[in-house]
Amino acid sequence: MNRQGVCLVGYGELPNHIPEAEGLTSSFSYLPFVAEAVSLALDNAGLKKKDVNGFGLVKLNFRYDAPAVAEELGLELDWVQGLDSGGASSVVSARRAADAIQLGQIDVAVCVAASVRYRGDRFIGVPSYAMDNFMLPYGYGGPNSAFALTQQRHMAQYGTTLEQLGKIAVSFRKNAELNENALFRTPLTLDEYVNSRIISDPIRLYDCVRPCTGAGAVVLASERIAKQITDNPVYLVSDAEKTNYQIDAPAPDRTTTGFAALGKELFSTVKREDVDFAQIYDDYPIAVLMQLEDLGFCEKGKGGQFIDQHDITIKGDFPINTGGGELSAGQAGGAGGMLHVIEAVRQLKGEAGQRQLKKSETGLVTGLGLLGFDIPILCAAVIILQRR
Amino acid sequence: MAAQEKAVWPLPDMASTDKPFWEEVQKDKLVLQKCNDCGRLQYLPRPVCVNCFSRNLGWQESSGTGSIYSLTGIAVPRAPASRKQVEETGIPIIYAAIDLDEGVRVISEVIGSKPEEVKLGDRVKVCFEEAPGTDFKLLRFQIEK
Repeated sequence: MNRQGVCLVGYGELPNHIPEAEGLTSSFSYLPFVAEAVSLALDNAGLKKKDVNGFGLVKLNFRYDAPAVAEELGLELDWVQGLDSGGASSVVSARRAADAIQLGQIDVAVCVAASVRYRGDRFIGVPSYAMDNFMLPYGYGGPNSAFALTQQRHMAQYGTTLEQLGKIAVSFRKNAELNENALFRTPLTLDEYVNSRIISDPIRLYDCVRPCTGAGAVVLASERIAKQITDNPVYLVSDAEKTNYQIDAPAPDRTTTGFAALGKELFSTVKREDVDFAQIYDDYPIAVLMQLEDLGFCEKGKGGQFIDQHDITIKGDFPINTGGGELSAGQAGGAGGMLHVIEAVRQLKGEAGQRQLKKSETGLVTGLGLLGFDIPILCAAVIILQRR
Repeated sequence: MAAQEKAVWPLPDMASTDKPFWEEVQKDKLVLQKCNDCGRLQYLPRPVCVNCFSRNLGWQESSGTGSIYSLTGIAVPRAPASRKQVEETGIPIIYAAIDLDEGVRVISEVIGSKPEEVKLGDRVKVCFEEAPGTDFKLLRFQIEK
């Protein structure tokens, strides 16, 4: 939809890390992580705890209730929501908060996501009828297998190659070299990608994200508040989402996401050509390629050629995942989706340091969430942000 | 943690929605859910027709034949029992999306072939076999000779 008067004013991000090192044993180990992410985000925005009257909490790999976490942080609220759209939750959280701000219900919302693993954690996610009853009995290998079916089909249907997908992983790694919060910062070569261990053919080790511990938050505010704290607010200018695209098709096209239905609405006020950079939800390189196609940056099936023709590193003509994305930075549960929103705001505020893009006035952020049975993905959400 | 889990093959936690389907599988029959109002077929049993939202649903026996829409050789299955099987045999599980001739898609396993022998478009036929270590039948597919 066409947005009016909603800004993203701050972000906070903890470095991703591998949890085993910490030896955390309490199921409440998330508390300081969430508090620090929110605190950093408010500091970055130049706002105080008492300014906050809205709170969104991403529920992916995080079982705690949003109002209870807000209580722990000492927040009195007029709006609160737990988001359960899987990896799309962070983008959806920003959209919901924007709705509340645009309606005048609240002035300032903090959207937070975290995944903090502790020793003995037995939380394995919520049950799913399709997965438990019709996938796991046949040897299902989790998201790796779901995306393997999709990638295999994309390669056969459109001639997409491992080298094209590998270029995505290698380029993100290049971007991650300058991101101190990323898990993986050593260069990755195309050979290493192609020859990496097969997990669920054709999905290889370097197609997969590394689960980790981390937390991130962004702050949204009304234009009125934003103008009090900055001269160059970052506006939410367009956004859209689709859940369960193609669900009524007896045999859906596994190579197409819900973004295929969103381009017209999304680019009605902002032109596709105006997008300077993109933070694309990258649980797998094939997911990035499909989203570029479905959002209309190239024809359906030509995603591989798009990757061949463009440099997607921070030095390139179409930078994608300027901090390395989840593939290089790691996936801290729902915070994996939040890192894309955070990096976009960071770039738009001109605070990306060594990896600051030369031109960063308009950025697009996507989220993908929850695996389907025969549709590839349930939730697709996208926001476009612009510095004015 | 994984080592302590007993490696029991994962079986469906049946509800009234899919119990009739699995009961037919135990009798070596693959049935599809059919909407008695709009005629739509669906494989994943649901409480409603995904086309017209009717709850007036019945069952129709499938030909059990189709072709492979996509597939993957899974080296790292999620369930401990399947993971143990792959570790012991050294052979990945052939997990496939199969388009039945009735036009609906099934997710299942292809057995009786090596992973490198199976490709997209191959014709397959359903077969019924107990899940390893259980007396509960699952439906799987074999390449049509």
